[in-house]
Amino acid sequence: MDALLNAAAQPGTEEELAGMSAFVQAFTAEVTAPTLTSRSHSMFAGRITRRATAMVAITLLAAGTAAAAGGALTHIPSPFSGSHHAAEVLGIDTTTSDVSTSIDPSTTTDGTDNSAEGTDAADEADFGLCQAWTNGGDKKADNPAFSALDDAATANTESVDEYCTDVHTSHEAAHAHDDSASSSSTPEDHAGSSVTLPEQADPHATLPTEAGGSGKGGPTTTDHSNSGKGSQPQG
Amino acid sequence: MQHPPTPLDETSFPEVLTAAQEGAAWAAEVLFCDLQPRVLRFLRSTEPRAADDISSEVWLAMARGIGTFVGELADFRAWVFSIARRRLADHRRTGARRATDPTDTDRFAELAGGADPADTVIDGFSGQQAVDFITRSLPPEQAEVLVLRVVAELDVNHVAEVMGRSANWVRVNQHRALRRLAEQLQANPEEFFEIV
Repeated sequence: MDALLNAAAQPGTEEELAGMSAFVQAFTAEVTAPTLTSRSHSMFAGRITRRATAMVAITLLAAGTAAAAGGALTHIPSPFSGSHHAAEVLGIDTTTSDVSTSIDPSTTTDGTDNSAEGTDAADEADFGLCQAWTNGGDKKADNPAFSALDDAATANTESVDEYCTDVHTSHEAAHAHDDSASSSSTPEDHAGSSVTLPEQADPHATLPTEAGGSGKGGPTTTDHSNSGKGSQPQG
Repeated sequence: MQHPPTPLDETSFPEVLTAAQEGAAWAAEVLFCDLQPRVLRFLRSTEPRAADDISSEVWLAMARGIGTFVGELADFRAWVFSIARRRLADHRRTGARRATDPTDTDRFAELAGGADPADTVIDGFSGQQAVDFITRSLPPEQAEVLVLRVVAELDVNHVAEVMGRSANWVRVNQHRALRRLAEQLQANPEEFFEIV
């Protein structure tokens, strides 16, 4: 057993570390790019062989992408909530380790609602992108036009599908009072997701931090109002 | 931008993170050396043919998000694996067929002998082979728990975060996974070598 686990955790091989210089170059270029809208997929995408660009979709969504990139990210909450010091040693103990501290994902709620920070334009851009995403074909995930949407979803710790479900729900709710005929509401359904954090319900609400958000160490974020450390950026 | 090689640990992480956020190449290298093998093993264990592509997407997302990351090394790894897990889910949602890369069984024929057949063979495993062995010997969730604990070096709480489960759920599944692996290895290891 130990041999198996040690083998799984052994250092990377040359094959696994292949292409490091290209990755580093692309990574640093992306990090130092002045704004998201000016960042390019090209360097990373060069390694992504399955890219197939749907030019029509790009044309239609270019404006929406720019708006979303400029606006959507400003109201994306910081969903990452982990701030637990790695007190537990990595070594797997085959005997039951009775760690008394258990995590209840819903224990703390010191997140703040950033919904007011979003602009109508950004919301509309998100909605438009999500409409296109929902109606898109199999290649939509490869379409760079959706990169802003992808970023926004990632920042919410959601998949794009889940994020768009939230956007649609929010959009319907926001416009419900304008349309007396449309009284329907779409309940959120994250049941099919294997990655959504359990307490995440509102795409414009900062996720509450889990237990132990001490806020120590590291610079503080200004946009996401997540007091706990381990603040997840727009990844 | 020159900087001596730095192993990534809790002590060096703040400096590495700050430098990476400023676009320092040496810091990106440190992160890459630490994370890329882990991410690849995690991805390849379930989507071997798409793993390299997905890892590229993970790094792109990291590059975009690292500027506002706040946290410790354990938080950072959890964040990275959260991204990897989402990209994996997105990939599967696009309809890509799940692929398998069967290992050439001749590889194991070369590894016969030794006091304990299981250990002898496993000692010859690469990191990826060991992860594949775990993944294919266990139910998916148990395997994922074990891989995140061992390969990603996440503690129980971070695994719980990444998987959207409670810490107790993670502990229970870790326990079951280890017990099941041990039982299977003791029962007849050769049976499992054939499915690696």
